[in-house]
Amino acid sequence: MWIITLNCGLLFWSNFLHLNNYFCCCHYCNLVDKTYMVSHDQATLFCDYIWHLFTNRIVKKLSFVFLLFASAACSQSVESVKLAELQKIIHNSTDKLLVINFWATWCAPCIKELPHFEKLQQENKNVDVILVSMDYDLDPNIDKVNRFQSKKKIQSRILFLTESNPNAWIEKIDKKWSGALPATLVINSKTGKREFVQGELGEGEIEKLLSKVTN
Amino acid sequence: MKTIILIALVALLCAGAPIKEGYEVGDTAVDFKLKNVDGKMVSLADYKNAKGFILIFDCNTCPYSKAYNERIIALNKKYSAAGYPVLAINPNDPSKSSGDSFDEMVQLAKKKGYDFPYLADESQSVAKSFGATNTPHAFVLTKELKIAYIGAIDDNARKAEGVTKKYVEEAVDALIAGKAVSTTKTKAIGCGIKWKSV
Repeated sequence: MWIITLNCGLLFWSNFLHLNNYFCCCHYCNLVDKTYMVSHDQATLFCDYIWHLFTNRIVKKLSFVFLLFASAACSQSVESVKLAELQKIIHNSTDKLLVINFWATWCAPCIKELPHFEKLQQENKNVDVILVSMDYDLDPNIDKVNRFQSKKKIQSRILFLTESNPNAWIEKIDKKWSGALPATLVINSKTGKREFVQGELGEGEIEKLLSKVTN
Repeated sequence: MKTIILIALVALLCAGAPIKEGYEVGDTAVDFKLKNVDGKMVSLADYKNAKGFILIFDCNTCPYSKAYNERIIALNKKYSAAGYPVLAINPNDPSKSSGDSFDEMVQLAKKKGYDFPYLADESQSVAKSFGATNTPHAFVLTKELKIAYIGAIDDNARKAEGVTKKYVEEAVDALIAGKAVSTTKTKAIGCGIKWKSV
């Protein structure tokens, strides 16, 4: 995993071997503090570019370019995953509470409840929000989800599940799930408690689910 | 005093029992009376010669409903003559989804040339009693209103040509042949029914 930190043109990075994911964190002048997932290729390209700039000692001159490039590299963060990878994330033990929202770009109630998840991701450091797009079933092209992500400036991690024949796997995600969208799964991996809700969540309802799995 | 305690205990037990939501395969459905797009009220009992039914909870607005529109029309063409007519029921609350108002339903049925009822489940009580959750959500019933199949129409929402399992057709074919339905329950991604706010 790569973690890249940008701070007003000063830059540090470190290489942690953890899973096969590449993270890119951008801190611009303490104004923006966000963590982005980028693809392997994008991260490698980005890091190579930064390394090139660094070794050429033109970092200061080109700090502006950094920021532009960082935004460009970070805006493409939708990851394609198969069911096995999603299940690994669901069953992974972590200190944080996992909030997994199943949604799609065509689903109006999903889009309506999205700001609650974004707010939660930004305000609660003990929570990891993962938005799992179910768009593949009707449209296998990831572009629509990428465009949606950049247009709406979504900060939470987005996964694009590339599995057909939903009847074969819906129950593997949760037995209670009929497949209707939206649906939300909240997991406390430390206690093994989980809550699953089908339907749109209103203000404060995610917090209620979180307290159910923590208490 | 004992009686009061007993009543209280029974009440407690009842309150604690999980409420069963919707029919399971093998349950017998209760008939309903809903308004069709032609303004007439429709019940399953009106179908004197039916050997069974294909009930589909459906709507105007869901992209999955749109993807299955032609396939639902084809189902009725294929099976109504064999005694298994299609009845489509729209359970969405029009205040949550304006495209699902009764007027819009009338328009869609006209545009698509529906030759089967398209009923408005205004109170959403039929969808609730069946345990419908998505649109489209299909239920295959026998003449005695016994539920033989619950779930998706087939296994490929995106393309009718890509379908490998026609779940509803297989269930109806089995009923016609007097055989047991092999796949009685399936799940599919779809639009959640737009329930009224409580």
